[in-house]
Amino acid sequence: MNRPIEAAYEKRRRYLKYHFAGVCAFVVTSLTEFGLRLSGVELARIRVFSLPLLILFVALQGLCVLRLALLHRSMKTDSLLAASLGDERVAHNQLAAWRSAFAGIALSVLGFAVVSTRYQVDLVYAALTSIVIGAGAYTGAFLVLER
Amino acid sequence: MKRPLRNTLKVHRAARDWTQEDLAERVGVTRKTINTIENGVFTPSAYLALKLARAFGVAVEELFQLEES
Repeated sequence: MNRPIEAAYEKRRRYLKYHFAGVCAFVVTSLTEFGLRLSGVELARIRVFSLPLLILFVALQGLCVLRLALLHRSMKTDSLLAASLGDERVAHNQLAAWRSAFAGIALSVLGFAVVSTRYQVDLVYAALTSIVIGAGAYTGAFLVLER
Repeated sequence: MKRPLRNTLKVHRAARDWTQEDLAERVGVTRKTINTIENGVFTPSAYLALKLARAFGVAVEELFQLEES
């Protein structure tokens, strides 16, 4: 695996995997916190445990996004690498992944809408969580299609 | 819609002793793309089919054929 295109391809896959793991961990922690709040547990008590985890998972996602951005930047100086890593099959899979992102956001919004019929749901929290779920759905679908 | 398409990529590759990575580099795609085309999972565009044919120095019909229905 010493060829630059294959090395960059594997590197991108690795960052996407870590990003997906970060999104999943963030969403699970965030929704657990949300569920505990709805069941009446005091927020300050939950936050002692959840806040460090949420910060850690956001940092992991941020790091992966940064590394991916740097990888894309290096592609700009290498046209063959850019063409190869963005070839038509990859473009096809990216389009399919966007559809999954849309479905993820739609399902998340629907889920929060259902919950809001019985409980008070913070609109900003629901919107941000839905966006993170959408990002996760995109990355997850892309990884599945590229496996 | 399923578009059955046979291809002889593997045969032409073997004749030249090229790996999937070798061919991928020649046409500017990833090895995975060559792999999925060979296995009939991904159908290439006319542009990529022509690039593959040019890499082998053969006509595109020699590389890709429609499956008899």
